[in-house]
Amino acid sequence: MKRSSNIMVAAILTALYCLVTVIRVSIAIATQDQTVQDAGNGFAVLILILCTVGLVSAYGVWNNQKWGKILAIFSMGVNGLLALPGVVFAPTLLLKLDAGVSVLVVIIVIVMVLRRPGVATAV
Amino acid sequence: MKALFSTVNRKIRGTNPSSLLSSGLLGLLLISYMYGVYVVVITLGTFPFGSIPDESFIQTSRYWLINTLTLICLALTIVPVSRWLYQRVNDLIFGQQDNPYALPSMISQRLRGMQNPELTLPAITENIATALHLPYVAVELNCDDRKVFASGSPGTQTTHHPFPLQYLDQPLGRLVASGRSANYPLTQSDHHILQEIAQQIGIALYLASMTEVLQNSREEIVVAREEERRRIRNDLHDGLAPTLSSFQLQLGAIRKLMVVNPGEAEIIIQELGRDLKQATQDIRDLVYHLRPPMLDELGLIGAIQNLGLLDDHLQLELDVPDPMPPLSAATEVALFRIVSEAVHNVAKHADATVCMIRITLDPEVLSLTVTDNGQGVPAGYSNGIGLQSMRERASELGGAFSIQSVDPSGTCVEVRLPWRDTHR
Repeated sequence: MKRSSNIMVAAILTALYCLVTVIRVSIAIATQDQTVQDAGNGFAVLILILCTVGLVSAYGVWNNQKWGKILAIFSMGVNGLLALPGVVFAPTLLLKLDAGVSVLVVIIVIVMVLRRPGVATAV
Repeated sequence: MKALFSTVNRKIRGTNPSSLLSSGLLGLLLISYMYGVYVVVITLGTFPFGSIPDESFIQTSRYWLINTLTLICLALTIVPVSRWLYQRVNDLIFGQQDNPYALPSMISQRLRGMQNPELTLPAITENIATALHLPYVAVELNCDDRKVFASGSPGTQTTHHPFPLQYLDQPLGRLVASGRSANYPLTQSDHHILQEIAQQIGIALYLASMTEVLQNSREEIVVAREEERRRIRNDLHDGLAPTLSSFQLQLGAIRKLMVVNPGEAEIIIQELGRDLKQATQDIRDLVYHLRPPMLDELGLIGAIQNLGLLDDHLQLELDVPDPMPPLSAATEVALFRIVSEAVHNVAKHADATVCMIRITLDPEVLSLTVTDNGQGVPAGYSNGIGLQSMRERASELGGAFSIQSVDPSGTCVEVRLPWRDTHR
């Protein structure tokens, strides 16, 4: 199957971002991390669910499926919305940078998914 | 409240799920964008990074400056960004990006089995409209009654995009598709897909029309063959058979009279000789109508040259390729008959002194012209049997026939027949 570079970048970034976030949040929940306690377990579980959905969507995006792209925009869009306040209000510079990187990844993924493929791949 | 709930419920039920999904995604992205712009401006405004704005920050003039800057940024960018997002989200939801080959492939399969366009084309327009989420798709054919096969109704709010249906520069009709809404015309990928489909439909329509022409032609050949057989049967049955029977009777009478009245027998024998001569001429005429023997004896050019002998006052001039390449038997007979009829007409009606017969050969067309210097085509002339016969002979071979007056005086009969030089 022929897939454009936009789609490959979007799928790889989504998969990596969601995988890392799932691992980090799982560890934070397991170790009762202070950040999780501050934000609340519900918030952590929401992030876990969104990133699991994001992993599934990465598979769909990789296979150039419409449902995968829609799911990726949805999961990454909500992730971005949740990460945005951290850019300003995170307690430490490290967490602010963390939120900033998350927002950047979300923007790249959404733009890559929405970008029009070249004519050769469109038809 | 109940009325409001029922109105919302009705709206949701009447809305396409794809449209709802498109609106939801667009809303999410626009909110994220506006929120993002706000956060970026705040982050830049609270430089150095790492400091967290507290409640006192709201009291500062920098807070108002940040809000103003955010508004300016949003005012400047929201229109192009929302337009971009709107087009791309709709392209994603309604387009065929995930499998752009699916629709042309499906249409191709349908067209491959197309025997009757009137049955297949409505299904194809339905397929296109459903797959691309288009409100109106139609195939308009360039036939006499300009048939239209449509799916949906042509709204007045949307733009109609025509895609020509043609094959080998021969226009066959057009595929018309309208945009999804006034604000959302067909996308670039829609155009590519519809152009691809229009090409496929054009080829299929051409093939269907050619198949119909071929079928009609076959039927005409069968009918012509049967007509010819009937004519020969009638000629043999009504002409030759009674003549032979009468010969038998006459021979019987001669046998009886030879003994009792030899003089009377001699008279009947003379009559029998005349009848035999007439019967021989009838058989020759019958054979001549099947294929002029001159063609076999003298060839086409020789047979045409021989026509001039029929009228001493008419000078026959020939301009033909030398050597004349071999032609099919059907073409030879048709050309000879047409020339024969045309020269006969010149001799009978044109009051001409010169008749020029010209045959030219292009790579794919054989052109025959018979031109005279007579009085030309009279005004208000109507096609007689002779002209009709020439036209039909040209048409049977896929050619064209025309007749017109020429300057300064005279008539030109022109016939163009398809021809291929097999000896090149």
